[in-house]
Amino acid sequence: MASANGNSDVELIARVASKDRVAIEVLYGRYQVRLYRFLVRLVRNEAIAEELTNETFLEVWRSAGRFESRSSPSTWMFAIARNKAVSLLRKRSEVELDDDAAMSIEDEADTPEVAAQKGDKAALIRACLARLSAEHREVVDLVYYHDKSIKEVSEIVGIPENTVKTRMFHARKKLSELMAEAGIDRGWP
Amino acid sequence: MSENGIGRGTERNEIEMLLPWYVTGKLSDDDRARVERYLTDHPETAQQLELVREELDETVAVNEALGTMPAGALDKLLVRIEETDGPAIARAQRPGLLEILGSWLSVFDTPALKLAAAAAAIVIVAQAVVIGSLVRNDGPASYETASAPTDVAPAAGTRLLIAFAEGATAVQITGLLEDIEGTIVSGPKAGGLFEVRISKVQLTDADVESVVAGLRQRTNVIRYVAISN
Repeated sequence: MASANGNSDVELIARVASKDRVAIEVLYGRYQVRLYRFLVRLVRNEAIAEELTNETFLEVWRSAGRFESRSSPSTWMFAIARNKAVSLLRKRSEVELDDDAAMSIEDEADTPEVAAQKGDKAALIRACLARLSAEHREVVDLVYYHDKSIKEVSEIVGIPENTVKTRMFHARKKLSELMAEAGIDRGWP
Repeated sequence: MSENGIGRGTERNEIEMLLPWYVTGKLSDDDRARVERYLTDHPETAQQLELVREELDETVAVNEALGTMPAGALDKLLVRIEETDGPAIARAQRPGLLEILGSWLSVFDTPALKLAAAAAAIVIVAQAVVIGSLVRNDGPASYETASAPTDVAPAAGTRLLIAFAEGATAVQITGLLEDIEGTIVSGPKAGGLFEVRISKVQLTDADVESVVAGLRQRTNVIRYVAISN
């Protein structure tokens, strides 16, 4: 839907396509933190996530003219960001990671066992979330943190909608298993 | 088991697969009605909603702890854009922060939202925290998933009224606010004035005058500064 002032996401993308720099700065303001956090979780390195975030916006700047409204601008940008992260991860052995930076975002939480011993259920859930596989973590983040629908996750990750549902189901099931291993029975599945 | 291996399972499995999106409010009308019918017929399933909410809360907490892009990241992007586009647009011709803020804020319909968002947006620029979620317009979120500032409401302490120079960049304003340990608590008011808290306690008149005198020297960032009563 068009806004009265030309600032809906779709309108901003159209303005970016005509090389309107205010528009790209506004989009940046709206999405940089969410994209950055999404990327940090994927590549587990803050410096690389920062670079990929800017690469994503640079791609938006270059490709806005080819944006088609089949998906939302938000979903389109997340898909660009994900593709950039996946490309990088595929050639990760060629990338010189800064070990210190990588370590800085490694999970600093208690292990599930320690969290369970402390009786801190929230900490236990966080510890178990950190131990999910990358693909499970990704879908959990997109659904719970980035507020994406089944269709949007499908478009971002590039998998069928049924696979999105089952992947989320398995991620949740795995979470319960990890919690059970730490001694907390959630009563599901 | 393949990921699609449970897709043709029982009705219960299919409903369980939809619960995360039921809780986040992202189901189609048909699916939502289907889940609600099932929950009515099988009240014991409602307990699972609590599990989903726990997962959601902790996923948000994990992501919120990740921090934000460093200050200056936008400037790096703009340099890359200028490189990409060949002949650069002179930096002086780039939109000033106030113009950009005005653009962000124009997505809001009510004065109250504009005011709240203005304060929040400036704080975000200054502190390199989230703008996106505060001005998101891609639909209502059942959860606010980014760091909203917690201290933007008018508060006690020592406050100034500041109008930033038209050409002031985010980096310059960030630096200035860091220098004075300032937080923007409201604005823009008439004349483009923002209220900036420089101390949580009431400073002496002499100390405030000293800060104001220093700020008046920084004409590249500030075009007006006065004590807020």
